[in-house]
Amino acid sequence: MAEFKVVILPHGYPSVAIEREVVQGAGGELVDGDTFPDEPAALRAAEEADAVIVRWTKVTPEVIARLKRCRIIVRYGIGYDNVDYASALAAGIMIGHCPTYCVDEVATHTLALLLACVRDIVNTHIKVAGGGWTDNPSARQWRMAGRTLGLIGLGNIGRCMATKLRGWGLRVLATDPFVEPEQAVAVGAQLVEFRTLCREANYICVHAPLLPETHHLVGREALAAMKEGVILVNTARGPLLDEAALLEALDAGKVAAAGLDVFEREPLAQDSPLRSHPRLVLSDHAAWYSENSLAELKRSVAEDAVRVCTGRLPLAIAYPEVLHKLGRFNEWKPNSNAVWQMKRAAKLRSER
Amino acid sequence: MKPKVVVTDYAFPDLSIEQAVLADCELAGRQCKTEVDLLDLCKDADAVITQFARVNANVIAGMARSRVIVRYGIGVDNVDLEAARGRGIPVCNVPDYCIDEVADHTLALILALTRQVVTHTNHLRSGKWGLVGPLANMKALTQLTVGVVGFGRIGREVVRRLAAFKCAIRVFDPFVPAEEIRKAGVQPASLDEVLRAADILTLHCPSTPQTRKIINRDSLAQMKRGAILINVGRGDLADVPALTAALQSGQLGAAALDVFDPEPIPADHPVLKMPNVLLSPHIASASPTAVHKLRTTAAELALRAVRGQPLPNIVNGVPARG
Repeated sequence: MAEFKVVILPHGYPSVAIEREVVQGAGGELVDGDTFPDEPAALRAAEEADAVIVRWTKVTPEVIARLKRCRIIVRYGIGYDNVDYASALAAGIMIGHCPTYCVDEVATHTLALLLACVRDIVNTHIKVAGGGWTDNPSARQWRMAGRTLGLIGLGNIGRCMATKLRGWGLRVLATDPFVEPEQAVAVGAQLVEFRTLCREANYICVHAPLLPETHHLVGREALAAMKEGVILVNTARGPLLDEAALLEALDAGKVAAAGLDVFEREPLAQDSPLRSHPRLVLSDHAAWYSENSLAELKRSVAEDAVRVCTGRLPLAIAYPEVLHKLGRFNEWKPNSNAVWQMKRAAKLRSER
Repeated sequence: MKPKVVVTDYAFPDLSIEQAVLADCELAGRQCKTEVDLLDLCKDADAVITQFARVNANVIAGMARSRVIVRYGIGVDNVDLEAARGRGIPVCNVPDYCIDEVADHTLALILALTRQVVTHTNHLRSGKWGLVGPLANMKALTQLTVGVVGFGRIGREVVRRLAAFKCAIRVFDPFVPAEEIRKAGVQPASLDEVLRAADILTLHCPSTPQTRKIINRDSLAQMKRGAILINVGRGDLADVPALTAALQSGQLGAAALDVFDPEPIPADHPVLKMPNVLLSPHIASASPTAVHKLRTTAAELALRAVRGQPLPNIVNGVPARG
């Protein structure tokens, strides 16, 4: 008889061998959600779980109400916006995630999309592969040096971006309500107000989490404040960017080009005008991927589920205020990422 | 009589920028395709500006009074430098107008291949969703070695940008002391060592008799199977049949080619249809800023020559006149 049960909700990965090895190695039972005929069946199995691991399933208040013994819901990824925080907190369930597993991949992918926009890589390739050659080469290509790049969000990924931008002759601005100016300076960036960043940056990359207060952060108003010919990249979460406003700004020439890895609705609708826009460089929520990052994600998520099932705290916890409710706040040793979370928790409390 | 400045060929919409600099000169621009065109245009020119046209020994012999041959760009491989020196005609290049652009473009190509940017965009444009394979094409630079051939101005800027991606970097340049390469924080190596070590090989050397076809059947065979080649230098640094065969056999996993031999790429060439090849039309140097500086500088060099002023940037050993 296993000592605890971990249920993975339907995930779509080719295998959960790493998760199984970790959970069984600690004396637990692993239930693979992809072996059930549908999502409701997997959710029924989760009712008896000590820990639930989730990828895309929406963990709504109704789902949380049915979890009888669950102590942690761990999200496969950095963001956990598909898990209802308020219900989890009320039920005393921790939310886990993996804030460090693909930081380098996402920063690198962001630069790949940005440079593809700045150097017009996709359109020039299509033109040459179709038998064309150069006519007026300078029209849609620019340089990085001497320009200003703005980072919206200076968490793990934003900071990794800043360190990758040191050799390019750029001025780097960052905006983040949870970061101190010295932390920005330490990675070669200057901390400014959101409005200032919008006004001054030639290139803008979004690295913020999706929260109620960041929904459509880059919307009509922000776009209007931006420079003519700005280039945008979003590898964070789709709803941070108002897609309808972006399309208008692209067609008006206000935004010269954009790189999108995430969308307001995923999968992106078959008939979405984003799919055919010539000034967009696209990938389908792929920024996180490398062979190594996938293995690291799976191991780390399973290990945190096991930690909690065996009475310890997870390495990464979203919304640490739940620890107050559980009377375990003093056990918790925050890491640098968690300091960010603490500030957020304090801010949330002060707003109530 | 006004001095006559001719432009043998150009990839710009017009010559207005040159005309503004050369207001006191007669300026004649053409798109010369043949030696006959070139001889006809250059025979009575006081200064010749050229972009891609082959200014060979015959064309130079036919120049009755040219005081300079200016190349729109860094590379001067389309001009017969020896023939020009024999006639006492200085050849000048514009060495510094696009260093950042070429380095930026090189990184754009490396990242486009390792993150599969074109594949992903086409996948979405064709209405699909879901990580498109083969996933092994998505490579983490942290696990790779990048070989850099040529540590001139551009090679150095490429290395500066690459360093933050935490890849191993090996540099080959026989004209730069090993100490200077080490000072930039990277490892100097022989060409053989670079070829064998590189997961990604990027070329930043000029096209000279020593470097032409430096990428050939033998050097490709020395490389790791599945390695990536980036060429933003000159098309003839690679032997095209050998390069094509290596891409077809999988010896090269992928290539990004901004330059080709010949240019434009022939309409029936197999590289145009290869899914593992990323192409651009010799535009790594381009940006509005760079093109403006290139055209202004080239015109100013021609102007100095016709005025008898000393010339900078002479690349064929002819003494600067004053």
